[in-house]
Amino acid sequence: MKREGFAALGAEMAKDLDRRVIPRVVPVDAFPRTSRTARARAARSPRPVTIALVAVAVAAAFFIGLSIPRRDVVRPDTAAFAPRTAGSVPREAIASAPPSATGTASTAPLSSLPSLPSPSAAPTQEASAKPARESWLETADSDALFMESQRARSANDPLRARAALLALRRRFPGDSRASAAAFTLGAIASDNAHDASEALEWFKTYLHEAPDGALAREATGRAMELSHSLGRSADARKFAASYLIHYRGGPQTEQATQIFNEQE
Amino acid sequence: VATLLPFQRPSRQGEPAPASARRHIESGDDALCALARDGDHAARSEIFVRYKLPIARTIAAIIGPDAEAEDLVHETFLRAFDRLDDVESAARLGSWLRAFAVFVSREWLRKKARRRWLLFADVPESPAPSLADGMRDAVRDAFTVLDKLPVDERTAFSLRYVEGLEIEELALAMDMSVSTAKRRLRAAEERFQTLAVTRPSLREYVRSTRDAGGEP
Repeated sequence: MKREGFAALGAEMAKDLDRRVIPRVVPVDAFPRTSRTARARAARSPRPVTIALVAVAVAAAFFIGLSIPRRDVVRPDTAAFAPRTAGSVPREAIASAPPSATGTASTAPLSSLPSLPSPSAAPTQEASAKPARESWLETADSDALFMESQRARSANDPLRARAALLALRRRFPGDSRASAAAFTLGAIASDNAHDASEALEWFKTYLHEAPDGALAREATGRAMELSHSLGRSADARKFAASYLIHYRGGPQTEQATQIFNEQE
Repeated sequence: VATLLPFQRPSRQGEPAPASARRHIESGDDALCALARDGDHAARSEIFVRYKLPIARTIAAIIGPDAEAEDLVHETFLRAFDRLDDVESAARLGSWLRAFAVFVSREWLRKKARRRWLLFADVPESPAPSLADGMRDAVRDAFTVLDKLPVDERTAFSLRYVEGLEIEELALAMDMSVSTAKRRLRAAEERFQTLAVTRPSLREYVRSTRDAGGEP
């Protein structure tokens, strides 16, 4: 043993800290994630003239709208064409498959998801469509799954979007869109299912897989909000600190500052 | 946002980050300091990436295996970035940041000491399982003994023996004269020996230190 006494003891303590604390403190390299243009855009505030013009335009449109007599239009069955609202989606169904802690794709059985009833479809058609859709999810390529998720989100159908995104992550974990799918799954869990815990896990998964991704700022902000709402103040403070270091000037800077200072 | 910016910047787990993500990766500390003073976030992030590991080691050495270490690393950088005008020379950015980390850690230890009476008992975390049994006991006992030292003495002892700083570096990091730093260290060694001698796992270290004539 080269070193004696306290020097040897201190060296062992340093080794112990290196094994236990340092990997926890410095988990991943954090890189700047906002472009110069994005920062400039975020920092720029609208001019008073622009605000006045917009206000005038809105007021004019409002009065013009009032002055035009409404026509009685005979519409077809509006219920059949109404988009599905978030309230019509059972929360338990969306939140049935939380992501794993390691950030890998969820392996929730797709059969656990409820079918997607079409207002005009007969029950027999619905029953036959369900296995067909499931088999399609198992055979479609990554581009088709991605497009399906986009279409479903545009149609306000979070269940269908979620199933496509889960299939994309499970079957194509190396695909370049797999990590961004985690972000979208977090958004669906948060905005449609209102399941903060699952959403938080998905945003963490995204940040783990794509710390320099295009959505990292939004993921950090959302993770901060969700941790705070769940009462996980330590986590919320870490996300707030990360936000302030990397995205100071971003849209959630004020909130991050507030959360960071809460426990001072 | 997910609809507007769906999948612009794909990234895979384990894939190295693109060089464009770190725009100042080639810049020296002087250029980084100048840019960071002007509020350049990329420069600040680069400083963080460059110095987070040594700063984390310094903080961990002072406060020990505490879960708050991560918070203190972030806090050090956040507070340091607001005081970048105080950096006299960019060549000393590393030592200036370390002094800041020492300041933040000492402040945290003082707060912890004030809060201690509220706690029933401190339960020390077990050392890493990869250490030998005897060594694990010694490391755990050493951190327990350090917890009983006054903040300044604990900081001096940790920086000298755990972090391995020379006495001049220690004085700079603690913002005190070399002679004051020596006095603090001597007091810390004596108090540590008094407390450690009752613990079997630390007796050998105390004995060999005494045999060597105190502070090496």
